[in-house]
Amino acid sequence: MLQAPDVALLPLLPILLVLAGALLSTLLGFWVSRRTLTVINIVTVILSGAGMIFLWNQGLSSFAGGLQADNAAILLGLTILVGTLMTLLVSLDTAWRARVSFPEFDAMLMYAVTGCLLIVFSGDLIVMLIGLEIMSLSGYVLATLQDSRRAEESGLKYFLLGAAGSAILIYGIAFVYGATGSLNYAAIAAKVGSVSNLTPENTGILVGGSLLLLAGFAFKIALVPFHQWTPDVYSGAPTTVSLFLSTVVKVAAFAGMLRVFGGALADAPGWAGVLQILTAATLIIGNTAALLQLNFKRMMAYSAVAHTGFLAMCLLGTQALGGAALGYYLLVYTLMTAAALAVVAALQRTETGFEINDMRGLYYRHPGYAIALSVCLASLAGLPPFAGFFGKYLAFQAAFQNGYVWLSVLAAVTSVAALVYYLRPAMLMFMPDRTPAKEYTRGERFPTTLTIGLGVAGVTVLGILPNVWYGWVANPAIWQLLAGR
Amino acid sequence: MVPTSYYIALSGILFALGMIGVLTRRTAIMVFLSVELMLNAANIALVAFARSWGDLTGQTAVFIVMTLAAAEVAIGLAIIVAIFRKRETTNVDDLAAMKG
Repeated sequence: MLQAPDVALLPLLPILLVLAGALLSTLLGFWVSRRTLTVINIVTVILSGAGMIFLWNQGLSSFAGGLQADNAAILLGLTILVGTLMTLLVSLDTAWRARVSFPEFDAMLMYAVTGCLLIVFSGDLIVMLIGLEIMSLSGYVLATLQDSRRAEESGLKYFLLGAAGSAILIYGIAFVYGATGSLNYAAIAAKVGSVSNLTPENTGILVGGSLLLLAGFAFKIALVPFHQWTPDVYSGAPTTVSLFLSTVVKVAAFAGMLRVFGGALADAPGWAGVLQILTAATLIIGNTAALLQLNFKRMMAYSAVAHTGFLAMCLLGTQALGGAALGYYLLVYTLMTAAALAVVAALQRTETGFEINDMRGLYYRHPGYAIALSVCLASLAGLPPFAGFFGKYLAFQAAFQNGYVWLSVLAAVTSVAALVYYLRPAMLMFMPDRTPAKEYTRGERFPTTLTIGLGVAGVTVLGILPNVWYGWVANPAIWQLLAGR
Repeated sequence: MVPTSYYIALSGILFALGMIGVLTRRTAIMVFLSVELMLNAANIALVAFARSWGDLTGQTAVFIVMTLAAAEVAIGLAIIVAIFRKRETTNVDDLAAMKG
């Protein structure tokens, strides 16, 4: 007996709008200039955000629970759209200098965002997998798109390690399916929640499956020891692409992890113990390696690895605290990283970014951008009154209250080390310098300035008045329904 | 009827072979081939579990995984060809301009 599938398109609206932007870029690319397409895409992204706000509190779902537009999805989806908007604005100025200013760039970017939103809205392991693959495959193309040896090297590294990560993830999905007999988050959570439903044999398969899933996700979010591709990809790809990969793609991968580990497998044994060890390793190695970098862009890549550690601590918290901390921290992380990399994208002379020593005296040549960059660096380092401080505080609190005391202590110690590598470039910028400028002098253009202004304003406002965003994400009811029970 | 555990053992062996290939092979094409082996191991496991649960979801998931693998081939080979055109090699050890 065949049943008509439950297809409601309304919950899909934000995804469909972004997809429309992607399809328009693919088709119209033959006739109109890339700048026009970017403007069209900015409009679709804003419309998609309006669509999400319209879906707020409606709790719709579609495809028999395979897709759910609950409040958690909307909050994380809005974060993704903020990152996308910042990438598109920066790319208006910098894509032509990076020699990636053709319609395919926009099309791939928007396809990747479609995949990201699909992960965020997923209610089913297979939907999550499809979104993850759309996102990753577009990401491989974006990293390779620039016709240079560095970009191709970074693209191949990203592709080979990303594909291996996806394969491990799919094997994990197969095992979770084998243990629970379902791919739907809610059904898995119901099965896992009462261990009596599982035979001892199935419990073993479930533990194996969740560890494989963890390893697969660890590749995507760059947890040590699966982070090796990160510095090479982020420093080899054009800076605009690194900005996209280190904000939007990472937010989406974390959203997938939150759905799977915070929702479907929340009560499964085993994975939390492994995740705390990986998190500790990420905090130590990410922060230590960032200390040793001489190139600013590469340092930001390691800073992204270090922040993966702080963000992963939220996953170790309880659903209510951890979900709220992750929801707050992801938006703050997106704002500060995107604004910092936007400064690099605007002022770099080549796509390698600039050396930290060349930043000496930046304040006297580009006062506005230098101040903005130091605000972002202070926020990344976790200094009050900027929002990075409150984000870190929430992450530590989430892990601490769930019993991971030693991890919180370790994170506090490593964030002191982080102060050194974030504040060194910030101090250098304000030192007088008589040597000729090593950066691109005409990089200050309006869309980039708008992006940086958005990032700095966001970081400052959210730091002084955290409740502007935290008030929305702090409602525990949002995060208790991650699996859609 | 062959017990499910036999199929899982087979898929485990395939997955391990693929993993060893990814870790030891030095040519991009061979690394990529090993990844495909890992995906097929996952497919065998999905089908075997679907049979033991008497549920078709797992079987349909295999179709999606196969489609994903095909899309991955399209992108992956394009990247590898682009690199081969410029360097006449796909040895991953030669792609080491960025370190540290």
